[in-house]
Amino acid sequence: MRRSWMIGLFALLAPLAPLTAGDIYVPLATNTTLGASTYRTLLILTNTGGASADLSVTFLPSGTDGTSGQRQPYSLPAGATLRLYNAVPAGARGMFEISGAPEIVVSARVEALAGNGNVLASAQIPIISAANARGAGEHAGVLGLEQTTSGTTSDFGLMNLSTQPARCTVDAFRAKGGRIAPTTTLSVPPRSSRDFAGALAILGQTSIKDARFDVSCNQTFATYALVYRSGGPETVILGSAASLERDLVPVDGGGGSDGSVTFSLPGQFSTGNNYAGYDLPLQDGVQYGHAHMELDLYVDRWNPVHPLNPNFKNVASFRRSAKSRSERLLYWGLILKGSDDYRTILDMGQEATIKSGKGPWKERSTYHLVFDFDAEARRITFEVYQGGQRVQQLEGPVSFTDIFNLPDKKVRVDFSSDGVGDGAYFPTLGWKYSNLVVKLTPRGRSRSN
Amino acid sequence: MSHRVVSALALAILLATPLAAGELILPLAAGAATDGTAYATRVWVSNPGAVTRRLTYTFIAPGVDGTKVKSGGALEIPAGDTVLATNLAPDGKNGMLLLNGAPQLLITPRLETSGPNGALRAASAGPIVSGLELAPGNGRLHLHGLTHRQGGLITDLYVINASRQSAQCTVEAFRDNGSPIGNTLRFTLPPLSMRVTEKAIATFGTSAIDDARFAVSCGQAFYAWARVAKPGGAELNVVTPAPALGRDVAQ
Repeated sequence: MRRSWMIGLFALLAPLAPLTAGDIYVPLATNTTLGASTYRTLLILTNTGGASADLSVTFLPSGTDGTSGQRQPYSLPAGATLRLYNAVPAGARGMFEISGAPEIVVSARVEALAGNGNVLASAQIPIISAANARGAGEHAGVLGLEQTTSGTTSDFGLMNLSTQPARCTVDAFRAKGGRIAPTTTLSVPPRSSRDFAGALAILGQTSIKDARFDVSCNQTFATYALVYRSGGPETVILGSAASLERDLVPVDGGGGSDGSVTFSLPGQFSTGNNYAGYDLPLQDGVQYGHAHMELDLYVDRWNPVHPLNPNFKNVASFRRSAKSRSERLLYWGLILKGSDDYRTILDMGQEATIKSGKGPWKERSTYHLVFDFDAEARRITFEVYQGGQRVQQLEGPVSFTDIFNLPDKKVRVDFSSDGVGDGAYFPTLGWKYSNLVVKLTPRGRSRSN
Repeated sequence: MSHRVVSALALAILLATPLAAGELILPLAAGAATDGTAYATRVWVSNPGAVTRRLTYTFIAPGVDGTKVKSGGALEIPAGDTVLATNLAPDGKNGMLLLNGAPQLLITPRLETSGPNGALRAASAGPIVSGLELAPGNGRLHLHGLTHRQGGLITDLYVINASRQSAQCTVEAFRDNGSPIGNTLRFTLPPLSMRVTEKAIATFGTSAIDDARFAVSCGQAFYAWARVAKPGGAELNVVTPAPALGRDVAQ
């Protein structure tokens, strides 16, 4: 049996192997005294989902191999926000590794506290995720560094996010482009960070502004800097500078090396109370031969309206939209029957359907759904998983194979419905849709799922 | 051939036109509080390349259709230089800058607060928006750890429509236990535009709360952030969307 490629990606509450990479990393995890101030890192964690969700937080001290750090588990009730002030031992500095359910969102701040506990300054910490971590060999720039005679200084940090030791190079430049020093080579232990307090002073600079560091490593990495004045108002935490490499298009709609495009919505994205539709980021003029979609579905209540009504639920569909009904094109539509045998129905357009026998669907249960639409083989496979076990599989022929955008006719996925169709097709009121990933691959390209 | 023409040709060659210029949105949080506290954004632009590169900028005021605004001008960044860009936007004005330029250029903003005497009161890294930060249409961004206190920290909310089409947006507010605050805020954003909601938590009917959360959604590609600051004080937090767990950083 071919395992789903996304089950690993969005595994809910699965045990975490020691060497598994974290979901996010937080630099500048600190609980230290600098001058007259105490700098303390605060984690803010919110469960945006409708059910309790788990996470783990690991503090990884600077400069030590972090591949076997001790994880601290937490459970967050639905909707709850947790503040963690004391996850860093007194006097320690390093980074956090945080993993958990996709419904949980995280941010972090450093607070500078006066001796009496008053907050002198507070600054958000840039969080490192899959979206902004730098790959081996890539470069990252940090701008606006300074070291002044009035006390402003710049701490520089490096994070090695891999399980292998990293070798990094740092080049430092003045505002006018001249080098401050020869290239510095630094080693960073696996899954760890290194901090260089007063980095410009280390390089012999006592009065400099607008300096730039160019950083590269031979493993996945991130970099940051803290520009501050102890006891003063500046507490600026800089991540890598932004570049003008991209258009203003969400990267979730970005392309793969095989020409594939992926659209993802981490976390819960719909309650099912209303119609929700998403145009997919297909490239104009490209025909796609394969559309793979996965998501998590929480089936709440069936809400039967009448004993004689079959109570069909409009769960999801993959279609090409158009203003007129005759021009619309349905690749597949998922309908669950909310009565009798609770069967699964795939509406394949042109009045063709693929139906199951008795379905696995139960109220107040979460399922992982996998749709594999192969236009080139003219087949669809639909799988349902619960607790990691496949509980249903349907296969059958497809009716339409031309997956491409036309002017004003976009390929999209949609969920639930605004109203009732034909007196028997209902929206999925109160159901929860989460962790959507849709991957489309152009015709004739190898499939990498 | 005159000297002037030669110079123009040389300049044209030196200003190597990028093969694929990209775009960034740089939100600007400006203005002044009643006590004289002033907010401003400073912008560093660096060109690590070997030839001069050009950066064009367009200031878009809140609520204005950015597709109809003319470009404000251009900066030429010499090879290797890092410049502190000035005069990109009108003094004291909220809004956003649409930046367009060579992919080699690097940008870092900083949000600063100064008192009536001009002394720096607080500084914080500012938000900047590329395709990495944008949410897709109908996606959802969460801003949490928000505060509103009379005479203390207040939260201003900024929502940006990054698409060239108008967008319907919603903002929901929640307490730290997940219970909703007030009614969902709904508004329409013109193409490529920004909306500022000052004292945003108060608009939901709450005057004293910590650790509130906004869940923001728009029908087109969008971004949201919040400025949480205490007028007259040193606390100045730029709250950007909190990333979600569930995706291995190595992927």
